[in-house]
Amino acid sequence: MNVHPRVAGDNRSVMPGPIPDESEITAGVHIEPGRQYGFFTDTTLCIGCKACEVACKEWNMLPADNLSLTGMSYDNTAALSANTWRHVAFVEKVRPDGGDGAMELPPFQSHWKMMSDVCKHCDNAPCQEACPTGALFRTEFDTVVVQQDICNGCAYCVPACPFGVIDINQFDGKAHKCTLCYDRLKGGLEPACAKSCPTNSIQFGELSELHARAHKRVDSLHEQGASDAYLYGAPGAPGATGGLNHLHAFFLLTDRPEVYNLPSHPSRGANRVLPALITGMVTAIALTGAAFGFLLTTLGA
Amino acid sequence: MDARTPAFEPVRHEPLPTYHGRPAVKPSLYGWTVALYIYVAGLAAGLQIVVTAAQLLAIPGSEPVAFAGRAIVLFGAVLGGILLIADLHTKQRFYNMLRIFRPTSPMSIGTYALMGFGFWSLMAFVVQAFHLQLPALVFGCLAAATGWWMTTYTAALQGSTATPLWAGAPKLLALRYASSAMATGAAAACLIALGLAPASGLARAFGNLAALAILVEAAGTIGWRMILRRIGVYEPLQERPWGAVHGAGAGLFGLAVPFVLFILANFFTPAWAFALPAAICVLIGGLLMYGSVMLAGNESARRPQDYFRFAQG
Repeated sequence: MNVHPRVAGDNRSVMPGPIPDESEITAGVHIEPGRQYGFFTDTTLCIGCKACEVACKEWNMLPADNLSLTGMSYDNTAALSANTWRHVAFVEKVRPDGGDGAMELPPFQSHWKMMSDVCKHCDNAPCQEACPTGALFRTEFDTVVVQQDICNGCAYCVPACPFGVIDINQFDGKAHKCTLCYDRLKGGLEPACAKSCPTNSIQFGELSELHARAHKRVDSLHEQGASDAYLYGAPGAPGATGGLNHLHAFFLLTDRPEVYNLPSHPSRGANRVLPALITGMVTAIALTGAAFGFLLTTLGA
Repeated sequence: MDARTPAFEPVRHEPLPTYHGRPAVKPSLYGWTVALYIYVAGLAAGLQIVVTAAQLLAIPGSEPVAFAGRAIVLFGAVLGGILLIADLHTKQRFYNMLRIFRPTSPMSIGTYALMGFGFWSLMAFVVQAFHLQLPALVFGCLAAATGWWMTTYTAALQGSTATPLWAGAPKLLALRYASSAMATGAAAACLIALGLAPASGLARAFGNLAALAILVEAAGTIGWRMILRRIGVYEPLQERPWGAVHGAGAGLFGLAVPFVLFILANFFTPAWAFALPAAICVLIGGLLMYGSVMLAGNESARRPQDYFRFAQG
């Protein structure tokens, strides 16, 4: 077993206080401002235990959203929301001919695809670019966070998000989403979801290091015969499209993105602003010119 | 193609997989309040533009029409601000809109457009009340120039979201909104001219402008519909209830009928008998258009198939 040198020989089960730079021990990464951090979620390792959902709710003190059954698979969380910042999707692969029941099981895996979804902290974040108050800002860790004291609940970020992540809490009237545990990062702690993940499906780290690790993992899976493995949201990969340079929370998937409720080609809404404004302005100005024309005929008459 | 970075070919006519049919993006929380704002903002801007044009050309009878028009414009700008604040979920912090200017956010652009439009419209109204013609013209022109932004930024606002129906053809949505604003503004000016300067010929000029704007809007609507149908995101406007509101309400009642009536007003007397109902149709149809596009857009965001078809590159 690999034990970090900092804790080797330390048998204490109760710590006197927070451990400085704890993330070095739990995630092998030193957290400091000015660097880019994110999540690499390897869906082939997810077992659907929902520890990430629980850890997120506990740390961020988020109430439950839905206390009933959705009737869809084992997923009673249903979706990301103002109060749910991690959501484990349960995809059961049924027979391709449309018949009832599961597919024949391959020897090395079940017929389940599970994936812990989260805010992607996009590079060129459409929610942040849409926010008129500056409540949504980019932190010193290159993540995207809502400042609750600034947000006035205009709710423009809600339809702006190409992944359906951010939402308004109807009780406090503010927008909420995953902060990538901004408070924990400031204290040198790994985000709660990644720390709680028992299979390391959710890996927290510096983005460049995560990209390298993820590419290695894809290569390894392809060598083992899982030729459908690919990255979603890494630079140049599906998900990092249409003006989104990359996603700070990126994924290893083994099926079309839509299967996991992800678009295959998400885009940056801000790229559509100028073309719309120019077309509309030209129309309005041209019709203003026409107004002068019609009014001049009045003078002639 | 490298299997490690697959490129997913667009799927247009076959169903895409979804996650238990769950929405993939969130619909906006905007409804009739914001639709009414878009309508009022466009109408006020269009009205300011056309009455200022009439005043600039010193058309006989344009002074009272411009003054009455500006009173309505001012009411519209104030009502617009109230509607926007009413729609905030934390209303007491509305002033945070003025903390920053963010050019990537049409909401931010619109905040300043509305502020500028409201301010210049107020100034134009006040100085005209004191019969100061030249300052009224200057402020009217400034208000009209900010009015151009007002007619169109709302389309950029919707077009830059991830809502398929709004984002599928943002340029033509902007053309629709701008021409609708000019049509409703001209229709309102036509009504004012019918009441205050019936012998001036202003009502006919405004009516003909409204007819042209309707023509542009109709052409834009046809193109917009074609693009959205090709992408496969138009269904919410073909189904109940928004299909009927958009097609029969905004299209037939708001565009086709008033266009014919405005044209007939040029050939038959009394002209007001044609222009009056035409202008009323345009004013009602405009609101139905913004409302149906708004609410059908929310419905399109709830349909994962629509979003996935839109988000295929």
